[in-house]
Amino acid sequence: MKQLACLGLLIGLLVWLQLDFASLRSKRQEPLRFPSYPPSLALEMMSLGNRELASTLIFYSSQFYFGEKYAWHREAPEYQRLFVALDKATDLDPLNMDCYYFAQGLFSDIAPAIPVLNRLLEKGMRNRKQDWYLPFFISANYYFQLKDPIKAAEYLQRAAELKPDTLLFASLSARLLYQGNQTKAAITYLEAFIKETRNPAIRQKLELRLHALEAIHFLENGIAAFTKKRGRPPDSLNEMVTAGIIKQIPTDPYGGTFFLDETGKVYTSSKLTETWKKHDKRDQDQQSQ
Amino acid sequence: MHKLAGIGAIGIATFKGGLRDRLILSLLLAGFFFLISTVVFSSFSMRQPLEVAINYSLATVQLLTILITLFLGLNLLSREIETRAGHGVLSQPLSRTSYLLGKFAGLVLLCCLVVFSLAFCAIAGVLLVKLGEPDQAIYWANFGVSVLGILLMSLLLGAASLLFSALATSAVLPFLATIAVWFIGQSTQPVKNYLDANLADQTITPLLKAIITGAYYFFPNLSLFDFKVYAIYSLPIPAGQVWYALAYGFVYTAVLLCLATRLFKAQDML
Repeated sequence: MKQLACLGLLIGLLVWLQLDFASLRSKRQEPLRFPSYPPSLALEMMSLGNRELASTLIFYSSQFYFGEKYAWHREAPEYQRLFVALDKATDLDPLNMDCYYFAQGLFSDIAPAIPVLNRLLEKGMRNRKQDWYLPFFISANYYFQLKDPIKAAEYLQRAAELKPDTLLFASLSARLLYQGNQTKAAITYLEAFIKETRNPAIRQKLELRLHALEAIHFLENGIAAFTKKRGRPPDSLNEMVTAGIIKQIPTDPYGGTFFLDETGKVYTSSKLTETWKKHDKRDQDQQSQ
Repeated sequence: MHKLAGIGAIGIATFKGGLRDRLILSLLLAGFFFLISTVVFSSFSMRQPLEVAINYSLATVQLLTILITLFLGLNLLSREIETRAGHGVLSQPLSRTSYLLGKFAGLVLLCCLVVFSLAFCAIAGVLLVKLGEPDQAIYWANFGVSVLGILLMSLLLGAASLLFSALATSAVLPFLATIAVWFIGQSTQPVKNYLDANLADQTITPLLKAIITGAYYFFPNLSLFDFKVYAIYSLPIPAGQVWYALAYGFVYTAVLLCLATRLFKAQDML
């Protein structure tokens, strides 16, 4: 009887500690950090013949960290470290599509990250020869971030050869080749990406960018309508509101303000981007390895 | 014929002994864990839940099989020598070679039971995940080859465990030595690849390079038995690789058993 009472007391104490720990964790103040992984060779040795599983585990830890940091705490993730981790995960298993897909979702809107992101995707292309997503992603990165429509068209052609989806590729190819409406092309690309995205945190990040691009597209249509009506482009976005072309200037979901530059193009003070900064010296060392 | 009957009798007795160690119960528990955990683990994948399910289940089959082989190896000979339980059998008209080969035959039966039971549970887990991905095909032949690779690897480690048991008088040393062989056998190929790619010219001394190359040729290369990637991504297995792994596994295991019988014969057990 005494033993049972003692056991009951201990279980009660354990439940209380568990619940208290959960609330403590949700309230904790110190920033969530992403771990630095050892070199790929050490990871491969430690995996004891399970390099594919080790790769998946690194991807999962990156995904969980990003979800907690970005979607829950609403803090800027350590992008540089995330990239290094995904690079190592694809060293362990170069066929791991989750890593490439996640990397594209994370870094495609961070301009300074595009050269390294494309290198990672090229690694995927060398190993996943039948996967149309990889050349499709590289094409989008060349077009929207590196402003190289020729390279973009080249990769889009390779994607189309692997999966001839006439609607998506025809619509994008036309825009790429004729240097037409870049914003609409970006919206088409993002809509295709979001449609296939299962991860809620990545979806949230992509939808944020999609809303911003839709706002820019809305303003560009307004400028075209204003120009047609008045025979000249507007001097400012407010002029379109006073002229009754648009009801109001949409808000930038990134927190910036939309404005017209001297050439008459729509820009925003937020630049629609997040930072790609090195978090500490260890990251720089890992990047240089 | 008499020798074969002796080996068979010892083999069956070892197999029954393994079953008495609640092996079946632990396998049933592991199987239930598989069914639940494969579905949960693969659900976090963004693009390839079925691939992750196959990856996870084969890796778990491999890990559990090797752990069970290590623990079976621990009881196989060393414990009997330690507790002098095997002395009664050895006093019968049965050669030490037959006794040791009988023990190994029992281990083969137990390993087959473990691997195929776990593989069956793994298949059930993968099929559960496949319900959510009906369009994707699974190369079951590649899955089978991966399971065969795991079995060959566990038998080789079992033979290594017998060899170390024949050398030592306590159970701990063979157990630790077999774990070391497992670790080294899994690591030599990636380290050799690293050296061959000339990525480490600055930091690796010629002496260390020679040691690594020596270890590569001396220790069993367990990565030869790893066919998981072909099962996970439904890739064609290069012609001859399965036969090579089979031949390598049989020859290496036979060499270890020969050495074990020589040492066991020479061991003074009194």
